[in-house]
Amino acid sequence: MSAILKEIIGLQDPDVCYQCRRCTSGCPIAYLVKDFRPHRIVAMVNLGFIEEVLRADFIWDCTRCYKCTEYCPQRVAPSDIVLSLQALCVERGIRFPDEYRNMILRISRTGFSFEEMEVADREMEIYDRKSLGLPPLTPPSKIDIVGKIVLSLGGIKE
Amino acid sequence: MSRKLAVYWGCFTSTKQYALELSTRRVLESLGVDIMELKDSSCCGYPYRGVRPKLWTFLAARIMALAEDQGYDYIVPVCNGCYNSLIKAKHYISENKKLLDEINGYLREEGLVYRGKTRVVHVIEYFHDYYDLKSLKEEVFNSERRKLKITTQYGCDAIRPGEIPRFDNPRNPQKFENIIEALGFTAIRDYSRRLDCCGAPLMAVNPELGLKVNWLKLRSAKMSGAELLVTTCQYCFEMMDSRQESSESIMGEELGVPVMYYQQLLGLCLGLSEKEVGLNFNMSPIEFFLEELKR
Repeated sequence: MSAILKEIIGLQDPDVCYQCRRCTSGCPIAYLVKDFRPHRIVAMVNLGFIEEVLRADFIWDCTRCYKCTEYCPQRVAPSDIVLSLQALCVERGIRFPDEYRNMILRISRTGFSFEEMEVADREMEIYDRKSLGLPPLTPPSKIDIVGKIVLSLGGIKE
Repeated sequence: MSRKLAVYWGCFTSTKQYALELSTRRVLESLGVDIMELKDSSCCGYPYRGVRPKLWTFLAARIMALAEDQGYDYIVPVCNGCYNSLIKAKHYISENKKLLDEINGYLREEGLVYRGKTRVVHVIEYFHDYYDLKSLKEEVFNSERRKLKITTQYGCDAIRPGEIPRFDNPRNPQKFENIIEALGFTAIRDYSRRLDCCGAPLMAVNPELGLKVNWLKLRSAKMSGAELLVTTCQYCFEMMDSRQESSESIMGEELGVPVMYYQQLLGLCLGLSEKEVGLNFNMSPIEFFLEELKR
């Protein structure tokens, strides 16, 4: 297995997988997506087909529910492998969903990943924090310092 | 004895899921618990654990460093994602001295330091073990509610991965059901997809798949015979309540499962009004359950 992947995965060892398929049998995505087979992803990584998996769209179909990891008799963590593959995709510039970029930029300005929204209730009446009597949201007092670190760790230039 | 609780609201609750913040605030007030706001808080970093792992650990450590700095022994993130983010980052950093030093280098720029001393407590754990089951029962129990059957959605982030110490058995948790029975209701402790994902993490990249996962989960909950499904996770809530209709139209079959936050249900039992616990924001068909509750 590639060293770079190993460093990202960290806490567990995929090499000990013996392909029992317990991960796949309980996976809610394998139930719906034919190509998504956690045991096969582990096998491909172990056999060194990392480039192939990195370019497969299905690695973005993982819900990160960790069921596969929980029930693995060998303590392999297929979900962590998928997450590492996603991280590697981003690092190599193969794919970095725009949504993430926008969210990281927003943290650097406001401290939060999401924008404060107006929300409609059942009667289609619109509310926000103020009209609901909730205290105002404020950025961290040292947002300039926090923002800079966030952008640098997020690998984003403004 | 006055009770105090440091709450960390997180992004999703404070920018969109107002019903959760409202009901949590009102419920704690009614129970005589003073809410201590975590000052200077920001995102917990969880969305970036895959794409930018270091950004995640920095943001998660920052929240726990703030809690230490402000003198709290433990904090309760109301968000399932934040809970998992914090306990995972804590575990991860504790095994990696190099990472700890690096993170502290960044935190020092803001005058903070991460020592890993703050306990991170889940909402279910708080009611079960901190506020505690006995006090909850004394305060709220009513046996007339026993005829109503309720089932649960823990949410993956509450229970997995189980190799990091959790508040309950990750393969068969019971504490959520216990705090429902403490109010007097009958808890349904099993259905086939009980510990499965709601599909929410897919909404950014493959929404159709997410909605299908959600529908399968809801159908399984419905077949359990429960009259209401409760959750404490706002991602699960958004899927199972607000996106139930979209899931139904994708799969071409209606389900009509009533969904509430645990805090909303608890609020009603404490005599709060529907509006006070933000029930006007629930989109699933809760009317019938509310009528039954009043009878």
